Order: sequence, then C-alpha cells, then structure tokens
Amino acid sequence: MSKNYEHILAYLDNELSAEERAAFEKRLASEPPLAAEMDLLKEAQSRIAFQLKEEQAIADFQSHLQEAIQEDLQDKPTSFIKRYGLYITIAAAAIALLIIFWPGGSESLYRQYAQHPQLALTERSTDSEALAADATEKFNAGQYATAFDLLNDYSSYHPNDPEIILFQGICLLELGQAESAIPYFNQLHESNAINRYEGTWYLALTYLYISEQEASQTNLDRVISLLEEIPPSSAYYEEAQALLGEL
Amino acid sequence: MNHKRVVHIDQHYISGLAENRQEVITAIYRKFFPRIKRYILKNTGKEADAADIFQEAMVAIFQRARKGDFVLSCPFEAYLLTICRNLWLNELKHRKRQEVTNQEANVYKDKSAQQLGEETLLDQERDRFFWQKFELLGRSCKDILKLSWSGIGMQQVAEQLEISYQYARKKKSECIGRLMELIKNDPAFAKLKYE
Repeated sequence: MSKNYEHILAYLDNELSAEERAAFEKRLASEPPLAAEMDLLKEAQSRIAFQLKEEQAIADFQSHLQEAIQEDLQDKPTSFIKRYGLYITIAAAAIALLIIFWPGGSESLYRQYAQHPQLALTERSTDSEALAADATEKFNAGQYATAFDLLNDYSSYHPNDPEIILFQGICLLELGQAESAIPYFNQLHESNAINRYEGTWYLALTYLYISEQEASQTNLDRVISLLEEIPPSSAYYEEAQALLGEL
Repeated sequence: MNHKRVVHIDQHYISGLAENRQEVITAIYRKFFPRIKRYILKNTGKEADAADIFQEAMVAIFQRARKGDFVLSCPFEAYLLTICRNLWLNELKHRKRQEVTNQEANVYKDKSAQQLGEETLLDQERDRFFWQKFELLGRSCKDILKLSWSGIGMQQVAEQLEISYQYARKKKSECIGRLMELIKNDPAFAKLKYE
C-alpha cells in the first residue's frame, strides 16, 4: 500500500515524467479503489493543511469572540439599557444637563440624581402580558402606588426577577417609603443579578434621601461607600462619580 | 445538486467574519445571541450552554467562511440558528435528553438555511476528524507533512530538515501511509457522510 502512496504522492507533487504521469492517469481511470484512495488523500491533505495554516487565525478569532462576550458581560447594564431602550439614555442625558447647568442649592441632591429609567415590560409574551402593559403605563406616568401593586402581581409570574425588584423599589422610594425600599435594592446589591449595580446605585440614593429627610449626616458615609463600589463598567458609574464629587 | 446559490444580502457578515473583524463579531453577538439564548433556555439548557453553543457555531462558520468559496443564500440569523439548534440537539443526545420544543421551528423551515447549516457542521466535523488523526502522528511525521504542505517542494523540505531528498520522499510516503491507516481504521470515518 505504501508503494501506492509513493505513486500517488509523486503524482500529486508533480514529480512524474510526462509518460509516467500518463500511465498513472490511465491506472486512476481503470482502478476506482486507487482513485478513491487518491481523493481521500487529497481531502486529508487539504483539510489538515488548512488547519495548519489557520491555527493563528482561529486563535485570533476565538480571542475576538471572547472579547465580544466579555465586553457584554462586563457591560451587563448595557443589555439593561438595550432593554429599557432610549429612555435610560434620555434620563442619563437629562442628568448630565442637570449636573452642568444646575444653579445649585435650591433642590436636593437626591432629586437631582433620582432620574429613573422608564419601565418597558411589553416584550414579554406570557400570561402576564396585560399586567405588564398596565404596570408599564402606570409607572411611566408616575402613578407609583398603582404601579407598585401591579408589579407585585406581575412578580408572582416572575418571582425574583431582578428588574421587577428594582422597579418595585423605585415605586416605594417615590412614594416616600424609603425604609421599605431598602430591602428591594439591597437584595439586588447583594446579588449577582445583571442589574446589581443599579441596586447599589438606588440603595445609595435611598440613603441619600433618608439623610436629606432627616437633615443628618449619619447615612452619608454609607452613601459614599456604596457609590464607590460602582465599577466603571456600570451604566451608573459616571453619575456615581459625579455624585461622589458633590458629596 | 450544484445549482447556483443566490447571494443573500447578509453575505457581509460572512466577509466580516472571514476577515476576523472584531466589530462584526461583536455585532453578531449582540444582535443574534439573545435569540439563541432564548432557544437554549427554552430547551432545558442554561446560560452557559447557550454561550458554549454560540461559540462553537461561530467557530464553525468562521472556518467555513475562511475557505473563501462560501455563498450565504439565506438570512444569516436563520443560518446561525440552524447551526446552534443542530449543535444543541447533538449535545442533548449526548446528555440523553431529547425534550426539545419547536418554539422557533419557523426559522428552520428555511430550507436553504437548513442545508447550509448542515453542510457547515459536516465540513467542520471532517476538518476535526482529519486533524485528530494528524495529531496522532509522531513528531517527525508531523514536521515533514507540515513542511511539505506549506507549499514548498520536496527538495526544499529535505534541505530544511537536513535529510536527503530520497529519504524525505520515502519518509513522507510512510507518514502518509500511517495517516491513511489511522483515518480508515477509525469507525468514526464510516460515519462521516460522503456524497
């Protein structure tokens, strides 16, 4: 058999004389097993040579792929932004404008920074679809008490959904029930949920709110240490840094 | 069998992948991964499974795209999803669970996507199979085959390896014999579909 390979190789490597080549081609035409053997060898050669040539490209590709995935994981708030669409971007822009142009003094820091994302649950196509639509409408219209009740009902379909927890907390905070909001934000803050830093941000805002309501400094250290925990990859990093600057 | 395929407008994804462009890879991930994840999660998988399947599919598509003659004749999404679905079905078979829903079956009714997806996976399977056999060869065989398949003549191969031309040819022939034996003796070889 190895003899055959010698012939096949000499043929493939163009090392046969014209007569030898013609003779070998004649054999190929009349001996299907030999032709099949040559096809298999050609395939093996082309596939292995391809892999050898591509080793580096495949490694580069895999690292690009990892980069895309890692970037997204670090940016989990980005998918949050995607989900809540344009609204959060508008809210962030509004915050930036407030920071730049705020005349200072007349309104609380909490109010300056408490720019909530809009709720957008309509994507979910489940039994709770109508409930999601109602909750979305009420929350975005600022009717936090009704929105809170609807979100409570909705959460029975999606227990422990970190995004629902966040918005439940925001409702309570807006209703002036800061102490009741703490466990919601704290649950996110202590979790590995994708929006855990939203939890951290809102927990900080909640303590800021309490501190302003009580006109005491006691909770400010807590606010600062929470804000410091928000990493650059979070969508709230810039706001957190700006607020830290003010504090 | 070889009728001409019409190039789909999404061919740019294939070209971008073939050029290994980070922004194209990131765009594909962001645009299509959520749907793949949904499919895997609906079918008893976990988020980590979705990431693994996505990566495996992307590598298969990348390798196919690098071969240069690849014409995408269906939407990229349908093609990618078909590949992911097939990979996931295989994985479930390995795990001996088969309760896969048809929630996203509409996508796979695209015949062209199904055919392209299957061809891509088979191509990758063959690449892998032959590569694994090559990996089983000894060091000296790998060196001589690697050199001789890099596009240089046997004379140069012999010079680079500091052996005689005759010996280089004989050695290459022996190595090829060994490789072909490994290929044909593996029961998996018979299972690779050949048309």
